[in-house]
Amino acid sequence: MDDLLAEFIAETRETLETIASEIVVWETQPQDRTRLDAIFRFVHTVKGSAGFLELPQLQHLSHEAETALSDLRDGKRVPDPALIDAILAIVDRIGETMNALEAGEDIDHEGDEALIAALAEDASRKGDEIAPGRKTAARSTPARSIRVPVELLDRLMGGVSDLVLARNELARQLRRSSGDREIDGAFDRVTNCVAEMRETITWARMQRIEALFASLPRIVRDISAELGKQVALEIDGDDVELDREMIEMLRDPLIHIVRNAVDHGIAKPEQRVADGKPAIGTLSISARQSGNQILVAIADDGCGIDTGRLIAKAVSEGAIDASQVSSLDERDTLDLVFHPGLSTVEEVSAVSGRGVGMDVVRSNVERIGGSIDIESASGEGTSFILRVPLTLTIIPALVVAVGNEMFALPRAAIEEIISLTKGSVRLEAIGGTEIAAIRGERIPVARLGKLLERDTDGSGDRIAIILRATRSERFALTVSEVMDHEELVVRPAPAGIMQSGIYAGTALPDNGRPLLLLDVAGIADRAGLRLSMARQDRMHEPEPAQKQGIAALVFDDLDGKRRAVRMGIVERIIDTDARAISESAGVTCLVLDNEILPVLASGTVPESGTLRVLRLSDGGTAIVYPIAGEVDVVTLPDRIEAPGGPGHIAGVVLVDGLPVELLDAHRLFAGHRRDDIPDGEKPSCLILGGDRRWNTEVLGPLVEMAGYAVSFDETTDPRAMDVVIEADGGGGQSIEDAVNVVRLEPLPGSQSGGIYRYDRRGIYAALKEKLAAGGRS
Amino acid sequence: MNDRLYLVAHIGDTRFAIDARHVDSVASGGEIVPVALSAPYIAGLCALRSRIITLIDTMAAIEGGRANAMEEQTIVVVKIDGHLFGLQVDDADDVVPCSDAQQPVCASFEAGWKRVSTGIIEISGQAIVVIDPAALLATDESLAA
Repeated sequence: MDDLLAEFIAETRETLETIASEIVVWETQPQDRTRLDAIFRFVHTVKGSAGFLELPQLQHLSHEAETALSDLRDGKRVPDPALIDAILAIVDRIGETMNALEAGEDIDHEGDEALIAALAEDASRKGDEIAPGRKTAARSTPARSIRVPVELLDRLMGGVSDLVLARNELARQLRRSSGDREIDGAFDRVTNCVAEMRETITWARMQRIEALFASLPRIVRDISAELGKQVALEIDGDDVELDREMIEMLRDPLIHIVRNAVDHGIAKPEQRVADGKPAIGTLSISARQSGNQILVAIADDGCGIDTGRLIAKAVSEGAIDASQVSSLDERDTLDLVFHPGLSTVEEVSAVSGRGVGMDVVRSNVERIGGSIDIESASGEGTSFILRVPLTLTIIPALVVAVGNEMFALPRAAIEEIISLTKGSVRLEAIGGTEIAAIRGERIPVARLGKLLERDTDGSGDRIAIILRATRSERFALTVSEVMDHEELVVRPAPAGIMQSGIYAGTALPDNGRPLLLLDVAGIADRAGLRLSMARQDRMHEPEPAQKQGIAALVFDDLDGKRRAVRMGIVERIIDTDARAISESAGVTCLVLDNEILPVLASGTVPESGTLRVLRLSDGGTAIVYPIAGEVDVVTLPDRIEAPGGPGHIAGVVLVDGLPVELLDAHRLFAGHRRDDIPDGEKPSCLILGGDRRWNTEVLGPLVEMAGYAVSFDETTDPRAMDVVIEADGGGGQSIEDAVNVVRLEPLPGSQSGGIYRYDRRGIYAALKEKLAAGGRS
Repeated sequence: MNDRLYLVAHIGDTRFAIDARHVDSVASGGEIVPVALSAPYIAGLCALRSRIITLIDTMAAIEGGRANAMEEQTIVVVKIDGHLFGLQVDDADDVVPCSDAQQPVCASFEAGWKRVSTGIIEISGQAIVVIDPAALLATDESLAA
């Protein structure tokens, strides 16, 4: 609510500034209709927001001014100086109220009534002096936050991107010259600063999705009231953050889907009761982050999509051929919702159902690199799932080559990378086109080289990349080679380059050679693969039974390698201050919420800044694994290659066609399990003789660490213990030699067979030996 | 007098001038990355001090025909609509002030030149065509073929 209020204050102020001049002009030309309209709109907006924010006095004030202005617009009243003064006084008063609201002060409503009275038609005749209620003392309010135009942020972001590229250029130059320690050090600092700035500016552009959801309650309330429906709105995950620009791009599609859900999805109360549902429908909207994507789900418990009617409509509109109906599976059928001009609602209501929209919604979402899925069960409800990237500016991409030309493909569109040489895919030439048969499925093929009109017959193509133009449209793009993964800062390219529709922009990767990012949907178009539903032949062969895969989190490790860890042992992903990690007793630990957790890292842990860590747990023991950044959650393939060497790696799996090392969960915990064997089960060790302080403070802890329950009680019967340490070697012997006694000597190289008391390994070995001799191990 | 500065460059025997306000820099182009399916006058992309420049074959843009990608050529970098373009020239000769107003373009100019030039100026007794870089990029029906 505070955010809303701040937004309201900021917006009202901004408008006040711009209409201040309008008011001045209007004062001199009261007949000027456009100025009057502008002031009317302003007052009207303030009234609406004040009502929503529960500021009754402000609402009252603006309502009265609106009424007077409305009369003026309708010509019911003629502007006279007294009325104009009265309106201006109210506009001023609104400004003062904003100041008071921001400062958190009580709003002084004294004088409001006088202002309102001054609006009355007879006020001017009375000739009363208007009490303007102005406060002359201008308050200086502390600015905790400022509003920044997104354009400015974009420029800042652009500047930082330039900085990154300039740094890369510098890195190349430095590599050429011989290494100078000082320069390298300075350069490293620059690198860190740039990275930090990039992150900061990325976050500066982030906004809680709350900003997007905040308007929904009102919209739902208004539409449901208008349609005589009862809808309870549930919002979840409004603290998820994403790029401001993304929020703006999502606004229209989201509102459209919400309107549709209330209008088409949720039935009238009486109908719902007749269907055995609660009279009040539920619309739940949730957002969550998954890797570098944001998922927004809009689900209603309404009547679902009537697929029969949808198909009938699609056939009658000519969107699909009647003969194809039988070949449509459930997904294809639901996808008809996105077909231009289709709507199943018989009556066109004021709210939606005009048959325009869902196709526009989908293209808007796809334009920002997202996708939209629909699920519906007749009688149970419909849910839409929007998937959009976190940000538009940095795109994870795969670099591919055709001949000696390189191109980037957005990784989000890549479904699979298949080698053409290993026989797992078969290319079939049919009617002048090519079809790839992959695991019983046939999908159309586009050859990138041919598409780009390069002189190639495709014989050099060794790899097929399965791309998803939209959820239902997939195709295989053949290229000669897959090069590398890159995080690209993508820039728009000039029209002369974009004209073909196959490029999404340009980027400058680390190697300094300009790279073109391909537009997957554009390629499908160019290759003529984007067939209309009416012409699209289904080529499903029976699909192999879906296997339940194991989910794994893929992340970039500190040493730069891409690794994966089974999702099951990942408890949380936490951002923490790197300084919370400290090394003590040779063990690196992280203090987290009053807990000390061992840290296991496969690289150098940064000493400052924010550190992202995985909290892994085997159910009992928790460890912390710092990472450079998580990438995605994937389903592990069946095939796990054996590891290449020792370490925490269980094996190598292919994710997106690239090798990813899978962490060995067992070894991770084996090295860090807590010593939680109950004391009763530990072998017992009695320490006798010698200097008592040395025994308790030096030797005792050492033996305890080796897993023994230590006792110093001289009255204990040594024979009852598993092992006994005679610490007073060389001198008097307090106990006789027995099978379970270890003797320590104060000096190394003793002839008596005792162990030097600082020979840690020797002591451990002797204890173990005696323990084994005593029948326990 | 408000002297205007012009950058004078030549391609072969053809000399032309560009209003210096449009010019970002003059540089030597590096490795060129070709762009398939681009407008015919585009020679490719190159990176210049970590910025991506779209290279224009100036003659192809004026007179039509396919662009030739020639590496290590002098390029005049101009900024149009927020994008950086590099006009390939044989050499940039000089930046000269010219106080005279531009003379109108001769009617006898070829269509391509007529399209891109804004006028004629006189420098050291020689008449030089002033071209508008933005006009180079305008897609013209006559160039479509």
